[in-house]
Formats: sequence, structure tokens, C-alpha cells
Amino acid sequence: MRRAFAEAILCGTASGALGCFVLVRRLAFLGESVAHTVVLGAVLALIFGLPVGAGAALLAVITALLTAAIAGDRRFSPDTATGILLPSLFGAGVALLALAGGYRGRLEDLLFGSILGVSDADVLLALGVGLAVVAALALAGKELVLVAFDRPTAQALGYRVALLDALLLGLVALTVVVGLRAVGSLLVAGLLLGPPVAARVLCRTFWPMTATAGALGAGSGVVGLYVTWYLDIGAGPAIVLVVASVFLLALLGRTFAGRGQEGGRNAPAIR
Amino acid sequence: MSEPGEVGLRADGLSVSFDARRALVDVSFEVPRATFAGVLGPNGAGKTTLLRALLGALPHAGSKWIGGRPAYVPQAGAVDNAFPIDALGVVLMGRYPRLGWRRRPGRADRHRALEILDAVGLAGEARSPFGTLSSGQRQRTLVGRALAQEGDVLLLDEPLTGVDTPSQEVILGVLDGERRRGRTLLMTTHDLGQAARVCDLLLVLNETLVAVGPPEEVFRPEVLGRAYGHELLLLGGYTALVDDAAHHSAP
Repeated sequence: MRRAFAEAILCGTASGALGCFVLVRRLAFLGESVAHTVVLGAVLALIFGLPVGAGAALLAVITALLTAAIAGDRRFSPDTATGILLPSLFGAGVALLALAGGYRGRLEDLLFGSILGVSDADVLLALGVGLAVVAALALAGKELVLVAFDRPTAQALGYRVALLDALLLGLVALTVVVGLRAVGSLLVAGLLLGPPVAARVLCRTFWPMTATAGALGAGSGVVGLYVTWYLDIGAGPAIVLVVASVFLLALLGRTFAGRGQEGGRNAPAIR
Repeated sequence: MSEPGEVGLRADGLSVSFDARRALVDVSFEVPRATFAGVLGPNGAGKTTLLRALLGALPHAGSKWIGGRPAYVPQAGAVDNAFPIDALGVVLMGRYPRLGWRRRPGRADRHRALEILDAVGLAGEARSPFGTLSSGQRQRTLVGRALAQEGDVLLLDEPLTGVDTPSQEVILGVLDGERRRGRTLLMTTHDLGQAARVCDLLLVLNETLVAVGPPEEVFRPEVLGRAYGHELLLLGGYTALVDDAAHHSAP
């Protein structure tokens, strides 16, 4: 159980903090897409006896590259690319698992996670990804913020915007892979986006929002595990339901406490 | 050609294409240092492309030269107004190139940013969310961010479009101050009258450079006619009205 708590805290913190970039860059649909297409990578890794995380990470990268390639055609938007890739790659993963046979139960683990069964290696991977997220944000956080706020100026000032995009997508891919183990493919987007949306309701500026989202992600993980313990429901769904409750509470609290203030009617819309 | 020390900005045969479409063709000019230059031209003339090519943000043929560190103000529509950031945070972004990777803005940077916000008339809005400011205040904040870059050459893309008159006056006052300090300014605009009033030098663009010179030389019907074509309406041979569709106005 201690491993599950460690995994939930690490995964929730990394997802929450990084999810703020996904939110402000309007990459929510891409995050959702990657969360599903990694199932194909995980299935391929299972069949060939490779580490599941490596297969999932590979598919995450492939998804991002394919999305960029399809969206490069002016006739299609990135959302269209995602709408094509998500069902086809996810469907291929599920179909392949059925064809391979002998992996009963693994599909449920992939879809809903299995945080109660994590190993020391899983926790170490989550720790590594968490440290990578912290290191990247410490090194290039303000540059990533500039690209999100004003891409043309970032280019004009000489920043290598494509490199920063690749860094962000790489971190999202790694975080999704860790989240896959904790809450599963169907629910990982909730962990990636729920805490940032709740934090956006509570905070006016980006870095406090990032810290708040990380804390809400970790807290939701811990509370979700307790809920699982007492109610005997799946850990993944419990964690994501806690995330959703946090968002609703934040929204209600802000609505009643901050009418007429920023965060109320005058606040810009949350994307 | 002028001595290098006297030149603020130079383009020599600058050309840009997007796929097969030519956006800028063989543009050559020189802007002396401490000059406020305006770039005029109809929609799609390549004004933004020219600025971005000068900054090296677009692949281009030909050469360009900027006399020192550049600072940039993008069109209002390029910025995400819903981003969770306050006016102070936006101005502090102008300090990023000086800080390099890893370092965050410090107390001195904050002090300078607050001075700049005061200079653009936003001292009381430092902690206001960027998205809740008026379009004029937002534009003043973006000009403030360019000032925080402390560049030698300021490139401004329609900084006055969609901006209320008081904000326009504040921005023009600040820019005039920068010119007096020896900085070179290049500003795209759709407002011919304002350009004639505030700029020392005008570049008239329509894919190619149609004319370059002081306002009294450029504001002639045959010159403007070559750039604007049917969008130009001449009244009494003196007044030029241009159909400014305000396609770049802020949301």
C-alpha cells in the first residue's frame, strides 16, 4: 500500500504540474489521444516481451509525430488528426490483444490502471519522470511559458520553439506512461487535466497555478486511495472522481466567494 | 550607403516565399539609427513577413542586418489573452533573453518592469490579469515588454491597431522617447495619416518595396496608387483614404 501511495503522489504531482502546460497550450485533446494510443504500444510490448512502459512511450512519441504530420496538411486541423488517430490506434491495440490471446485481465489493467499492484520499479519510474518534469520546468519553464503565451515573440527572440515543443510533448508522453500504470488509459486524461482546471479556477497566474495543480493532483491520489480502501471501488476511478470533485468544489467556492472578482464573470474563459 | 555606425537596420534583396507563394520580393532599404520608420501597405502586402524576416524568424533569401539587440511587439492577435498572467508578468517576459536558461527574474528585473509599467501609464495595473485589461492597456503592456528587452532596434507590428486614442498617444510618446535615446524603430501600420505625423521615414510595401523616403516624398498619389491600387480613394488630389478592413483588430 505504501508503494501505491508513493505512486499516486508522484503521478498526481507530475500530471498536475505538467497538465497546466497542456491546458494553456490547448493540447487537451492531444493528451487524451496519447493516453489512449499508448495502449497499442503497451500491447505490442506485452506480445514481444518488452517493458510495457517502453512500448507505451514509443507509441506516445509516434502519436505526437503523426498528429504533427497530419496537421501539417492545411486541410486538416490538429483536432482532426487526433480524431483519426485516437480511435484507430486505440482500436488496433484492443484488437491485437484479443487476437494474441493469453492476456486476460491485462486489458482491464491498461484501461483502468492497477496502482495497488505497482512494483518498486514502477515507483522508481514515476520518481524518475517526476524529477524529469521538475528539472525541465526549472531549466526551461519560463521559456515554455513564453511559447504558450506568445509564440511569434518567442520565435522573434531567437528561441528554438520546435525544440521546446518537443520537450513539452516528450514530458507529456512520459507522464502519460506513468499515469497509465496508476489510473489507466481511459482515466489518465482526467489526472492530466482535472487538477490544472481546478487550479486555474483558484489562481490568477501561471506558476501558483502549477504548484496548486501539482498539490491537488497528489492530494487527489492520496484521497482516492483512501476512498478505494473504504468503498472497495477501483483505485483509478476513485482517484479521478476525487479530481472531478475537487474541480467542482473549486468552481463552486470561486463562484460564491469571488463574484465580480477575477475568476468570476470578468475572468477569461478556461480552455 | 551610410557608415555602419549610422545605420539602425538594413535589408538587401530580402525575399520570402511560403510554399509557392511569394510574400516578399527583393526588398532593399536602409533605416538610419535613431529613426522612427513606418511600413505601409495594403492587407497581405508582406508587412508582418518583413518584420519576421528581419528578425530571422522566417527562412529568407537575401541579407538583413540589425544594428544591435532587437525587441519585438507582435500583433495583438498573436497573444493569448486568456493566459493566466498579470501585466507585470508580461513585462517581465521581456527580461527573459537577458536571463538565459534556468534563471528567473529577480528583484532588479521586477523594479525595472514596474518602472516601465509606470512609463506606459499602467502602474496601478501591475497585478491585473492581462486578459481583463482593455485592448489599449494590453497593447501598452506589450510595448512595455519590448522596452524591458532593452533592444537597440524595436520592431512593432501594428501596435496602434484597435487601440483607443489615449493609449495610442501614450504608446507614441514612449516610442518617441526611445527614438530620442538613439533607438531605431520600425512600425507597421494601416493608418496613413498617423504614419505621416509620427514617422521620419516611410516604406511603402506591396510584396516589393514600392517607395521609401520621408512622408512628403511618399505621400504622392502615384506612389500610393502603385501600392494600394483600387483600395485608394483620392479626394481633390490631396487626401488619400484607404479601405482599412481592420483585419488585424484585437478580439
